[in-house]
Amino acid sequence: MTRSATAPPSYAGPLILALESSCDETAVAIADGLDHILASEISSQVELHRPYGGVVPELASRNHNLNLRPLIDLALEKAGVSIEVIDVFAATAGPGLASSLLIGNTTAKALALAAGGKPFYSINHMEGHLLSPFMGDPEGIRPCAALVVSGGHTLLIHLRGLGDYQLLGTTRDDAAGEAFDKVAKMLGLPYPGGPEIDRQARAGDPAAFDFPRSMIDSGDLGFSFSGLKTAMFYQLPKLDQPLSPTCLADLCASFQEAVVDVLVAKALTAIRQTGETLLTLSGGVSCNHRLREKMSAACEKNGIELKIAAPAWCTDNAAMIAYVAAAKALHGVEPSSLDEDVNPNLRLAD
Amino acid sequence: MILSIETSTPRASLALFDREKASIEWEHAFTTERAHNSVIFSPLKEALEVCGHSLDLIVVGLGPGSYSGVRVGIAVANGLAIALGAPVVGLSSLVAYGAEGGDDFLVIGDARRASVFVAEVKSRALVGEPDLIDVKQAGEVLAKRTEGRETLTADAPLVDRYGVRLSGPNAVVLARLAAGLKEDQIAELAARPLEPAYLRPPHITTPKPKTPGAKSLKD
Repeated sequence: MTRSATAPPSYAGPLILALESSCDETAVAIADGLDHILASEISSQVELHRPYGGVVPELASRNHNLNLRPLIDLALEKAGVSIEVIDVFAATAGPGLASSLLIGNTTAKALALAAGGKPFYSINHMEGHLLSPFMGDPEGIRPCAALVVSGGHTLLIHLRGLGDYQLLGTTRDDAAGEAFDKVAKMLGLPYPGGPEIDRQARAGDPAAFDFPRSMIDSGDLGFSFSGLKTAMFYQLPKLDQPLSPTCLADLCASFQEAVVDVLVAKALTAIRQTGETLLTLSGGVSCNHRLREKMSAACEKNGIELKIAAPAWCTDNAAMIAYVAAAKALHGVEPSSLDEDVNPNLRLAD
Repeated sequence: MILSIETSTPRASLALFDREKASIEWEHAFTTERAHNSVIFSPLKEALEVCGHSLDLIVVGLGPGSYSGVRVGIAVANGLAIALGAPVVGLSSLVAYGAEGGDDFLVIGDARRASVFVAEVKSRALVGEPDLIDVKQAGEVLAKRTEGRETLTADAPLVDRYGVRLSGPNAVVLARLAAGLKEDQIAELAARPLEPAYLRPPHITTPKPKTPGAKSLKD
């Protein structure tokens, strides 16, 4: 293939352009194969949604529509490549908000078609999170037990290879990140609540309140976090209002400890069940300091290798979508049809 | 060649206008309630083959109409514009309705939340912004405004209710209108970010401030 002057000087390939618009972040990434991220641009809408205490789908969609084109231009400029040299296009197809997914997905398909019928990969957002711990790892994707924890999902997966995923367990009700957000709201903490609880908890006593570790001894790999939310709901009226800074910190630390204990215990069970020696941790909640700390300690104690996604790839981004697309292209996976629609409830594994 | 994309209603269409021949070179219409994103690519591929991947202008209908339909149209237009380096302009879909009695007409449509919009088109240009009318008053208001004037709607249920004719925006009309744009008009329109024609701000229900512990568990 002939390359024009606007291709990167040391080109490994394939050059991927990936778009992500599944929730409230508009993101564009350009990557050269698996190992080189040339640009990863994110336009966050968090300030727009903050007054509402959560993502407003219609507002998200309106802003994806406005943000995406300038963001693609910016990413191409930062990567120093022109659109003609892109080999593969990719976009998130789900899970997420239908009206948001539509924008990145349709744009990427139009780009692929107009750029001369280049391959297009429709990517599962959760596969992006699942594989994100391997980004930048020269050893590439390896079999492991994977814990993916985000605002919308709590998944334990046996990853046997690219595209070979077995769901070991998931939540029966709230996702771990959802529990963080809902409890933060109850405590009157600003949106987004997850990072805020993490911050408050650092000054708190994790043993101050005894919150339930739901299903920790259930023997399976399922989760339930709604009971923890209820426990917080009944705890609050028993305390002096307004909450003192110490009490708030203790509540945050104790709540967080309960979530983390369950996540760590189930992840260890998953390792035992699968017989793998590698555990990966990814998704927005994997930014949580206490989770990183306790998971690291538990893995070290049990002789398990732990790979945690880099903080930049824990929250929504398009670089992880580009990574999955690169892996698929390099493994010879058949590209997606342009006639495929987005799927807000897209599943990763059964 | 001009590519025109009109996806603001379930009856969507694409057209190519050949500037040299001053005529429509190719057109395709399709019907889909919600799947514009998956149905549009097969005809779009054909359109790009017909024009040899060479376009000097892309025009997209901005609605009002289906939000996701219009967003698909805009996303396609933007993707093509980036890949082909062609300018892209957005026009109100209201000016691209198929009318029988000339270029002056009214358009009415379902504006959701128990309201109807009415827009006036003169010489294929929008006069002011669409008005929103409560359905309870719509019968009376529309009877006065539409008397003796060609009135169109793309929403079938409104045809009998208000005695108007069923018609909708189409890519052929849109392409012809774009062909009539002067260079400075194209430059001005192409500099604007493409955004659907919203009839009202987003509908957001704001949570009431709650004291800790007093909150409903259902939230």
